Amino acid sequence: MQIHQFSATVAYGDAASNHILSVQRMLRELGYQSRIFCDLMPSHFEGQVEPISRYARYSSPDNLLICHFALSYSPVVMSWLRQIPDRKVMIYHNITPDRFFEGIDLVMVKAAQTGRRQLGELSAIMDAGWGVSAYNCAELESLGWRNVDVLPIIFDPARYQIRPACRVLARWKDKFNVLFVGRISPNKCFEDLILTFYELKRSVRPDANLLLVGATSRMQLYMAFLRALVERLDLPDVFFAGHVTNSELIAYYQCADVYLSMSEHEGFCVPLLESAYFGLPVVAYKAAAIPETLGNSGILFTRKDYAAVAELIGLLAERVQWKEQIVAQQRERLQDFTYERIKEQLQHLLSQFLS
Amino acid sequence: MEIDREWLEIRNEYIDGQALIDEIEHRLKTRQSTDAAELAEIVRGVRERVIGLPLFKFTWEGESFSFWENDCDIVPHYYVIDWRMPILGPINAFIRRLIHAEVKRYLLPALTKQTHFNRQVVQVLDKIVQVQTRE
Repeated sequence: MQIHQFSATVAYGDAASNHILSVQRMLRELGYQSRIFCDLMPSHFEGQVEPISRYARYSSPDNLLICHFALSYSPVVMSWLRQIPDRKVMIYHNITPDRFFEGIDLVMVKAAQTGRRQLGELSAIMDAGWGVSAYNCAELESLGWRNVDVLPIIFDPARYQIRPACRVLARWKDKFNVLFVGRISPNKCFEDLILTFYELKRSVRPDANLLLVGATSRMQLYMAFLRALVERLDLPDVFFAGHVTNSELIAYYQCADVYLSMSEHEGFCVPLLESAYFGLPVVAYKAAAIPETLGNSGILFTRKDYAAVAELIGLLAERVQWKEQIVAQQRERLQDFTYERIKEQLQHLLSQFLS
Repeated sequence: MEIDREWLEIRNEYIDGQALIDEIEHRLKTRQSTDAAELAEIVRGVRERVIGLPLFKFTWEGESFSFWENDCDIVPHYYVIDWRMPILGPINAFIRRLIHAEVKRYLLPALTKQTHFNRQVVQVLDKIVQVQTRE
């Protein structure tokens, strides 16, 4: 029996793509033949990914195809999925609601709307749906999906066993840095991060820096808004790092003192786990899958009170013992997402599904 | 200023969440924080200037459509030529700026014309929707 995976595309450094590669490793370790197929062929994955046109030679009713769904599929993919005889399971990574992109990117608005419509249609095509969080599963169930289960994202520490970028360390080490990691997107509410930082800088920690690490692709207009806001509030210590390499990412985590999230929509949020791994206390707005990923760890707040959050960050920096307690709890939570733990869950789900 | 008890969720046996809230409240009282409404006004102003305003929104056959000023405007005003590399970066940026200026000189009239047309189309759509709603 073969278990293959399909994703619209894969990208370097993307959480969903890392998950796909880890799942492939797991499937191979479990004794299945496993390949990855894409609609849009990526440029950095030579030999690892194949186009869907080649799937015909592997397709069989005995096989299982795991389809990753993050935004939307092209009409070609939708009709291909309807035609192939394989059993199909969807891993749902979530779709950012279209309202966040209104006024920013009309194409993203339409893609999100299409994706949500397809999510309903896919319930008739797929045999089961596995959300990366219970939050995602609830969304699937509300759309009439059956056989819904949770298969969380894998946290693989091996990915971070490389030398951190010296250039980043030299610039930011020994400074007080507040960090946020995530692509520049309106659902992550970067403006709220900037406003909290404004309060922090003004009254709590005048020496603080805000490091914003994440790709800006397709979001130039939103980025222009954020830059204008930074200029208006006169905050030269807000640093947009853009898309970074893995070694740069590690260096940013190593230089940071607190991880702050104001995001209002996350299907899972891998940076929360990365923060735990790098010993950063997480201060986050309680929204979407964030409380679930954190478990009982980290600090959540239920209302965006910028001044109070700034004071909270200041207090965490002062009370080292508190910080250590929070980090210890976050690291404990990290154990729920280890490679071995998720492999067990995948094995259990597969045996349940295939029986 | 008073913070409600449910504002903070911290489930750590070694940290007293209530004491933490009290400490934050105490600190907020001793300093002057910016009025939240004032900050919201700043954000609104900057947003309006950069992103623009919604022109109109309607739902047709279950699908919602919203048009903003910048959806019509296809001139990439926000395009910034920046660099990160220390030595080669400025040279690279300089060359890109030269190319950009030349391409812009050639393309801008056409893009402006298209933007004007897009706005007119959206205005017409808005009028049609208004008439249909009245009917």
